[in-house]
Amino acid sequence: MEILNIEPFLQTPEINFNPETGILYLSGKSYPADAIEFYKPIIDWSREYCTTPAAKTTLICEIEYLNSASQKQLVELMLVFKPLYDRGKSFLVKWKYEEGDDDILSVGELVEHELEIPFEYQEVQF
Amino acid sequence: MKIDSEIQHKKDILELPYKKDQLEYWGPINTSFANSFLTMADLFIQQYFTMLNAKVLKSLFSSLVEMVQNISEYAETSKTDGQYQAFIRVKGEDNQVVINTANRINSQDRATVEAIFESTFAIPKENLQEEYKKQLLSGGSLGLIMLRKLNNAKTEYTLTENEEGDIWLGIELKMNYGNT
Repeated sequence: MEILNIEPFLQTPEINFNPETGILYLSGKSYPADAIEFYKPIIDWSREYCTTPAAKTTLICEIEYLNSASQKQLVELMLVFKPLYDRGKSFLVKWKYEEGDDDILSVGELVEHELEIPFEYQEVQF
Repeated sequence: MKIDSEIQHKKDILELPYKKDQLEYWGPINTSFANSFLTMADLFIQQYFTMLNAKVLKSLFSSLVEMVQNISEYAETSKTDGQYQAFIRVKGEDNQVVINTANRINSQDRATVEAIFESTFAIPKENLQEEYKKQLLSGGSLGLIMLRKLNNAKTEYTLTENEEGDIWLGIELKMNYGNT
């Protein structure tokens, strides 16, 4: 399986998902008008990855800004990984948000609580 | 200051209004334009609303994103009579930032749009977080709820019909300076 690499653009984040290491990195602003179109290849890649995952999977979300459509797509992405965690595989979301940004923090807390997948939080500066 | 004066002079000649802390657009809006407009608006907000702290700036930008993308997704585009289809304005006014949007909608969609707005605006403020959670997890519509959830801000909407029978949806968000 190939590494999924998408360069950041004005409204879209950097994506670097490595199937060998299990480090899946998403970083930056995400407010594309058509979030479904942007996230589709990421979600498709993740579905395939979950069939033969690395020993340990870490989804690092370093988020500066999310529009409502991107929030929904991130939930879709997390839902792809939930069965992996439920099957007893090692899976962790590292949720990094801008210092003082309670809105992004609360999105993470909500998803963690509702989907019952493990999150680790860290304040960062952009 | 010199640049301000030069622009003011040119606008005086053309009899155009000039306000350096106001961003206004009147014209058609599609997805591609919305993306470009928001990139420019991000810079504008950071340059002209320097009195706002980082958190308020982010809330302001986030509101603008939802309002502009709402237009690009739902505005009526079937008419090609050369009429402008949408309006966006961001301005500072009396210790507030005001965002106005207006867009023409299909007349057959009026009842649906009205019902969506009425039901969202009927949700008590204390129940908005629960509704937000419900919509986020079910893939429902979040933009309006996010606007209503903002602290120190008020959102209003109007649906009006003009003399030509066009239906216009207007949304106004007023955000007070301070913590949101």
